[in-house]
Amino acid sequence: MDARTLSSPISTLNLNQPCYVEVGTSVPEVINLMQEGQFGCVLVVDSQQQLAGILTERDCLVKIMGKQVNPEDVIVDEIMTPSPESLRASDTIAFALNLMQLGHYRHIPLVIYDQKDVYPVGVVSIKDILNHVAEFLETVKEE
Amino acid sequence: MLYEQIVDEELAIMDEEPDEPSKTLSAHEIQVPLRSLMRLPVTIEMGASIQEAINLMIENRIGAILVVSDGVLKGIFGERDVLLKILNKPVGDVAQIPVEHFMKIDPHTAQVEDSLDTAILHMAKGGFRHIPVVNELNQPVGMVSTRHVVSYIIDHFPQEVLTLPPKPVREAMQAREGA
Repeated sequence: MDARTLSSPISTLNLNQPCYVEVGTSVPEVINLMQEGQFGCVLVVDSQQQLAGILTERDCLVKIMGKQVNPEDVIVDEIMTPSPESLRASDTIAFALNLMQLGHYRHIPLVIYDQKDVYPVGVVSIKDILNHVAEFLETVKEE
Repeated sequence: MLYEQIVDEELAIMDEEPDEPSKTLSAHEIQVPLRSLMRLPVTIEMGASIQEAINLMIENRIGAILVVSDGVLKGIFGERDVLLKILNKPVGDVAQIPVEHFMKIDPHTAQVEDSLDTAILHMAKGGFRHIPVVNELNQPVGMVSTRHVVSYIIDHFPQEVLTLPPKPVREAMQAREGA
């Protein structure tokens, strides 16, 4: 593992397909999706399929359980992080690491830009980076 | 002539292949002991409520808490347990239910002298985000999380990571594309 690893694009990591929900979706419905697919976050899109926000496990903990809110009364827009920081799949792993460290994020949406429009295409998580390091360690062990 | 010699030297330098990356992280270097990077554990006694555990996690800005009895580790309770076992489930009043009902019993642990590479492999294989660090009496003395792994890599490659602008410079590129 060397500096070149960090300058590889995020797309070289083994990424999972993200979970998408539309704005206005009820929070219990979103939680169901997260539970079924074991997703740590969902990407929230507007009616044009543009990225509107991100909702993470942490948001559920802090904004529902921490505030003792009944999830039935809430839609995803009210507890998501709107307009989250995002990267492109072609940006480097170093950028993802930097953003995770600075923003204390565990998930960063990957997007494509079309003029001012932002369309989500994936998510990179701290776990993807961990797995990447683990793969490197496994390779070294085998050698 | 001196001038030509300097120009030749300059040209020769320009033609050289760029060096191999000077900075590497060998497997050996990931064998740092956990004591050098772990954080202090946040613990809660068995019998405390789920709501108390959640409040402690929020206050301390952490994703998992260690459940102890007389200082001895009994389990771990984290965000994932809240999402998968409590939210949307008819569990009752979380202020009344003891944390041990939903904690993971006898989690995988490490000791202070264990190395980061072993912890990383356990995290990746087991899908854990946290590994409690305990002493020989199974009392928690630390906690290691995926965040420590990221921090360690960044500390090792500060030149590559920390000198980046917070976002890739792309506004200028977009303007060019649009022109």
